[in-house]
Formats: sequence, C-alpha cells, structure tokens
Amino acid sequence: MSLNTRLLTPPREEEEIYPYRRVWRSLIIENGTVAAAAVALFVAFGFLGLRLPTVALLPVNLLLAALPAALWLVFSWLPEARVPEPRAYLMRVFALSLLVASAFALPLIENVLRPETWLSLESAVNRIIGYTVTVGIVQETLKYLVLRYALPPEALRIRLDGVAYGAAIAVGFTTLFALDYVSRHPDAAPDAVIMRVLALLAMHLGGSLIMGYGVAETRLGEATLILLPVTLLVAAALHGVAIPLRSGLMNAQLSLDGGITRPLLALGFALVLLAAPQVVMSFFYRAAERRAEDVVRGQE
Amino acid sequence: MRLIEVRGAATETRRQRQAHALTLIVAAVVLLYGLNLRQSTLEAVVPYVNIQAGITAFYPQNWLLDTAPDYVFRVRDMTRRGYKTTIQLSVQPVSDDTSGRNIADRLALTRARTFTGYSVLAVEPYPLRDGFSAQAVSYTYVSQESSPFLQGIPVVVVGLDIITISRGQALVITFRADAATYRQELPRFEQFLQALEF
Repeated sequence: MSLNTRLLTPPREEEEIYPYRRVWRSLIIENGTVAAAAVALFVAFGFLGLRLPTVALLPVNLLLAALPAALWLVFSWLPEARVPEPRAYLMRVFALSLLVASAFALPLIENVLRPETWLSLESAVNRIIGYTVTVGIVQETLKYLVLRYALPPEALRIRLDGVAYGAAIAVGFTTLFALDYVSRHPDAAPDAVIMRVLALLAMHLGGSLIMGYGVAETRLGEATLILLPVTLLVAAALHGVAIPLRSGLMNAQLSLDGGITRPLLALGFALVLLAAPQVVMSFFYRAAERRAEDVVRGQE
Repeated sequence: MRLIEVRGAATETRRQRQAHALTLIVAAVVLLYGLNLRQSTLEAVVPYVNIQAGITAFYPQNWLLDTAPDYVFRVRDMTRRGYKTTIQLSVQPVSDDTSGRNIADRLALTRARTFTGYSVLAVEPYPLRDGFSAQAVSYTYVSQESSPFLQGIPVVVVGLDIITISRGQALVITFRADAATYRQELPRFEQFLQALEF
C-alpha cells in the first residue's frame, strides 16, 4: 500500500533575487514627481494666482532646475549601493554629461548654430529638419559619445543598463540646460521654469532612451550595422519634432482678435512627450530581451 | 522573463566597431548638412527691383521691406529683439561738383539734430567695386522706442553709411544694428553691397 501524501500548501519556491536596480521603476518615480510638480505649480501660479516675492524667485527657480538631478540622485544613484550588482559608472556618466553639455552642447547651440536666428520664420517642415540636423544631432551625438567612451565595454551587462546610463545622461543635460535657462531668466515665474524643466527632461530622456537602446543592442545583441546610426537619427529627430511643435503649441497665434500664450497645451504636450518615448522604448527593450531569450532557449 | 546577461567580453567585435564608426560618420555628415542648411538659409535673399531709381538689390529673406518718400527702400530684421537691424537705401540728386564727403557732412549735420547722442566715428574711403569709389561714414547714436508705453531701454546703435555718386545722384546705403550685434550682422550688409546694382 502506497502512502499518498499531499501537502496542504505547495512547497515554497525560493524567490529569485533580481540583482540589479529596477530602472523603469526609478524612472517612473522620478518623472512622475517632476510631472506632478509641474502640474501643481501650473495650477498654483496659473489658476490660483500664487505669487512669490522677488527675492525668493531665484532660489526657488534654482531648486526647480536641480529637481531632476536631485530625484535622480535619490531614486537612481543611491539605490545602486543596495543591490548585489550595482551600476558602477552612473555618477561618472552623469558628471561627464554635465561637463559635455556645458563645454560643447550649450556653446555650440547658443553661439554657433543659433537656430532661433534662422529657423524661427521657416515653414514647419523646414524647422523640423533644421532642428533635427543641428540641435538634435549635436546633442544626441554628444550623448552617444559619452555612452561610448565613458563606459568600458563590460559596463553594459544587460539591455536595461542602456536605460540606466541613458537616463543619467538625460538628467545631466536637462540640469545644465535648465540652470542655463534660470541664469538667463532669474526672475521667471516658477511655473514657467518647471514647464521648461519638464520639456527639457522629456526631450532629453526620450533621446537618451533611444540612444541607450542602440548602444546596448549593438553591444549585447546581434544588431545590424545600421541600427546605431538609425537610433542616433531617430533620437535627433525627436528633438527636431519636439522643439518647434512645443513652441507652436505654446506661443500665441497671430490673429486680428489678439493672442495669448497657451501654456496648458505646452504642459499637455510635455507630459505626452515624457511618457510616450518611455512606453515605446520599454516595448523595444522587452522585445529585444525576448529575442535574446529565444536564442538562449534554442541553444539549450 | 529571463535576464540575458553578457559578461567577460571586454573587447568589441568587428561589427560593433564598424557600427560605431558608421555612427560617427553619419553624425558628421548630418551635422555638415545642418551647417550648410543654416548657411544657405542665412544667406537666402529676395530680389528687389526699382526701375525708376535704377536699382536692383537682393535683401535678406524674411526681412520686412517698406518704402517711404525719404528713402527708396528699407528692410529690417523684425525677428531681432530691441533694435531691428536695418538696411536702407536712399537717393539724392546732387550737382557735378558735389563730393561724397559733402554728402557725409550734410548727413552728419542733419542727424546730429534728430538722433540722440549722434557721434561720427570715422569717415574713410570705401572700395565699393571697380570704377566706383565711395565714402564710408560710421557713427553711433542712442535709439529709443517711439512708443513711451513700451517702456523700452534705450539701445546704442552703430551705423554705417556708404555714400557714392553716380550720374548726378548720390546713393546712400545705410546699415544700422544694435552695437552688441553690429559685428555679427555686418557680413549680411557686405553681402548686400556685393549684389547691389545701380
């Protein structure tokens, strides 16, 4: 007679430890906080009529410009110390992106390319092309160079490392450009500053995620030769589309009835621009992981 | 979903190196195209023909053109904040014994009365083109917004008059820009002068 024993509860499986920091979760928290701050300040200053004393404007604006960096430090960089497999080069990439943006991107755009002097009166298509092949390509090439040369080849172990390092670069560029904006407009209303910060973060993060995907896939996958150049062009085109579209949505239209700026449209556009590339790129990253998984299964 | 991790490969494959090289080439080509696009847009011109005055000019694209009894035509860069960079062309009938210097002095006397802080910086010969000598008068003055309601801060303007006499007419070609951007804008005026036919 065999004894058929059944356990009342199934045996507990040992929980698999994910050895890396979960980058999407960090990104959602950081971006959600910036977006919430933008909406809150927009409502407080735009609708409720909140006003700050002039002496408080500069410190508040500086804090707002540094908000993405502060959030990144708290939710991305610090947690790396608590995981078994930390990304060791995050701070290096962040610091280098600040320096590169300050030394190359900003001077090139503000002093050499100066798109506002020759693109502001062009047609929509010309503006998109113009911003893509100047501002977009300069910034994304610099980001690519940081990803390529600040990281040793072994730093990219999984595809999501591209997201983590890309986000670090995006936060560096955003912080520098936001600080530059505040230095030029120290008395700007905080809702205008946070909207600028949100738009900068959305553009840079979108571009960096695309660029990070190209670099990670080239490093870890069986990517074709043209994947990396294509991701560079797509990331540059994101700037090319976003800059004129945002200003077109925000600025007052010329009409006989007069015109007012439409910050609500700009805010909505920035929120969509912040979320959409992350959703799309998470799909691409997941698809690439699945493909790699299938290959490994096939080999087994 | 499993985690696909790659470790140990500290060197890049040939394909990876080629991909990186191709990316740099694409970036350089696109940036060169961008710089070329910028230059061609900045140098884009629109023709202006005035048969009565015998003038054919090519002024910068997107600049606002207007005419008035005081001058043949004037174009201004309305995208500029503050003082709008201006190119103006006027014609005055003169006698045979009038020189470019006479016109320059007369202009200086007139402007000293109408412009705030008008000061002539230099009067010197200017090689306009073969067969045409000209006088270049550079000056500065302070420009204020015409509307007091705009509460604008006065701007220091630098101007340059190119004066030449041809067939009993004195041609005064004027360039004015904000002192802060004068040097930067001057090449556009020089481009205008090179293409001017009269």
